[in-house]
Amino acid sequence: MTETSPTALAAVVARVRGAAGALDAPAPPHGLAAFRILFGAVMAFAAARYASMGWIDSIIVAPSYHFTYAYLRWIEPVGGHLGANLQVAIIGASALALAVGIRARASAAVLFLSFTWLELTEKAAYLNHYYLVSLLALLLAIVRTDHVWALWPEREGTASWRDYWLLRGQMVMVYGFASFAKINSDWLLRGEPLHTWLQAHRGIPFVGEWLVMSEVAIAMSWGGFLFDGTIWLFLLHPRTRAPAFAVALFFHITVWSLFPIGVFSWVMLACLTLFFSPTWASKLLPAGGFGGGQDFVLAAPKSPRGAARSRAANLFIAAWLLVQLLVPLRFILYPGQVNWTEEGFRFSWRVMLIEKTGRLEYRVVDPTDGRQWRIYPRHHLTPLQHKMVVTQPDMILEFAHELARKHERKHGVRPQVFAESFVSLNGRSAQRMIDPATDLASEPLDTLAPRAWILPQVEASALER
Amino acid sequence: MIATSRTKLAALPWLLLLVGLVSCLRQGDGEDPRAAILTSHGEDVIVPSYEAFASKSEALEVASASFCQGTPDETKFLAARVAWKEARYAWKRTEVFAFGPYAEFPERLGPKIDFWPARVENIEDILLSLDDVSASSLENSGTSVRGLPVIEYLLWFDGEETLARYGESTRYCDYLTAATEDLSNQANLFALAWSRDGGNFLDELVAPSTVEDGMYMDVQEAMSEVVNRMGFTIENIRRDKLGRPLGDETGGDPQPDKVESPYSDHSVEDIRANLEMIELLFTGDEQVLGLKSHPRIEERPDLIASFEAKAADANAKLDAIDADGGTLRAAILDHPERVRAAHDSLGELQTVIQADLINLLSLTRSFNDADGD
Repeated sequence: MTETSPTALAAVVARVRGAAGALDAPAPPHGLAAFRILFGAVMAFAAARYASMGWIDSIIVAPSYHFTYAYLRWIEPVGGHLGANLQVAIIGASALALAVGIRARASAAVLFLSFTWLELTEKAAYLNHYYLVSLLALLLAIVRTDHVWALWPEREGTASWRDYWLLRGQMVMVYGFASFAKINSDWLLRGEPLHTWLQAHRGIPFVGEWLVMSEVAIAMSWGGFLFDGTIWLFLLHPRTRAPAFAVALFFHITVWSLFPIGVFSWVMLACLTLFFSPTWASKLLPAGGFGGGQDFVLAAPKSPRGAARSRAANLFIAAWLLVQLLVPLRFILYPGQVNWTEEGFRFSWRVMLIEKTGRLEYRVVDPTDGRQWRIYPRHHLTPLQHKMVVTQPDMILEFAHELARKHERKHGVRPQVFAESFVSLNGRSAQRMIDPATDLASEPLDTLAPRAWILPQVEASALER
Repeated sequence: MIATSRTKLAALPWLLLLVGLVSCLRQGDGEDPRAAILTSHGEDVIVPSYEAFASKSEALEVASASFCQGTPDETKFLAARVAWKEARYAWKRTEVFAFGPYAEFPERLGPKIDFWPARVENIEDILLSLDDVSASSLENSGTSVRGLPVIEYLLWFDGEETLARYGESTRYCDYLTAATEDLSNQANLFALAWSRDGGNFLDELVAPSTVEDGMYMDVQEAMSEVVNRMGFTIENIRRDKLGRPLGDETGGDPQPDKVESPYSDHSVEDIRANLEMIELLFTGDEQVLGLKSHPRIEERPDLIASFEAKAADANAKLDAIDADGGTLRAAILDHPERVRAAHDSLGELQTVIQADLINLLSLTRSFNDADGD
């Protein structure tokens, strides 16, 4: 055991201070502005697409019952059909305002609130990239990105490297955890669920027969794992940036072509520009911008008040990234395979890891006389909700509570509710997922504790196939 | 400057390759096992099944017309009942195809043929009415006064006394003649809607990329429709045809009159016909390519064995219900455990389809962007 000498400690402190100081250094704002424009444009398009696909009605308005998030059950659709349409219009308008730089931070705040509220009204519609959009919108409500190319910018302030590294750090978390989540035997050894999904592309001329081979699926799985884990590193380095972006372009457009992931690829490509040199976009657009010719100032004098702000900002970055590091790791606290139990699955960048299908029914039992009813949730939910509830334990619990509530209202007795749930994961034979003897209606709805009633995944012989 | 131009030029082939690959990936469906299976399902199963139903409906119309000409005659009456059962069986075989012309406007033929349970009060209203009843008047009426359940009622409404009731009023024959003619018309419309010479829904299903504004984007989506319907049909059997009469919606109070085809006691046969088609779609035969010929399923003999074993068990459990000439209605009261055993056995088959089979072929339906990511 060696004691840390005062000199060594001082050196470490000096290095940390140096790094913090480097974050303070002014940076060209063009990269931030370009990201704002791209992100806002993609989100404006996404809002228009959401409306044109009829999702306002099918996801928000039509369901008579909504699956909600623990501790956020009070978030529900506002104002019926008109309200939902208005909300999507606000999302589109605020995204557009963000893109063209009309009070960018305020626009981003409106985008964050309206989009996140919409996202939280229906858990069945959860998507990792919706979560990413919420986080980025929140960060854009904090970080200034309108120093250039903005119609109505804020008057003061300069861009710093801190702004870039906050956003880059967020994206490193996304890619890093997406890669980390792929370290499992299904993904790396069996090529699942890619192998299963690629079966749908057998008919593609020339490459279809090749795409359905398990060896190709395994190779693509490894490719995805390595891509997610390293792409940001290659993008940071000037010498590897161009080929790395070409690979990223190829990767994301291929994924977009093969799988129904909507605007996800375009959001990610917009985010990757954050890793470019901050001046990359100044070659494409006039440096002074279209916001009245205002240019950026690289150097800003530091005042004592500025130093305090800087420390606070650095602390904020550290706290933000720490939360972003811990939230995806929370699955470690739960027993069992996270891809099976889905405890700690959401908000963790566990992207495209599972093909889960199943059958779900409920038995509602009156404890006073033993009378029982059988409920088939397909007849009570929308197709999307039904598809999701059959494989996700927390949604199974939530709907059990809804059935108990309805029964109690009708019959005046709080019933017991049992689930008959069978699920197949990534090509394995179906197995029971929920303990059929557990009365789900008496299990707590909002808790972070492990759910003992989720039966463990039994590895089937299919794994060796 | 020269170096920059060279870099740009070097990037061009990669860009072209990318564009080429992407456009290639986004193309439609070529020849593959899924297309072959779907084509066989469409051409060798669905279209012939609807043609068979149309033919059986015409036979029912003829038998009813024959019975209603002159004095009510027991032989002809029984022949009409047999014709109904044959049409009913042919129809129930197609129940799994409850999409396209079955459910979609403008045709939406399914409810016109099989709206159940029969609304007795609506049927009696027509029987008591003095208005003319004809195929064309029924065409403009609601689904509750036409179709197979109505004809079943007209042929069995008073059990063994039904024939005698025909002697009391010609109104029964008027309605029977009109209803069977209407059924025959609808059955022919159904066959035409699927036929390549008519509405050609066949190609919408089996060759989606060749049909503009078709119901399915590609073969995968079309196959997803068929296989998901297999699962839904079994769930409907369990929920509506077995569970409801058992009392699953009434806290366990049996509801024997809620069985399908309650007047003719054709209930178990109805379920057998449903199941027979589901088995054919999976297993195939000398003429029909079954789902099990899909390479992905061929790799899983355990799944094939599981499907076949559970289907055989479900059939055995159904046989136990009407063994010794019994009926589902009677079994609901006298042997509910047999009905429950069939219900549960079908549940296991449903699991094989909805969990194992759909997982292996990735046939879950998409409703939004990457709704599973």
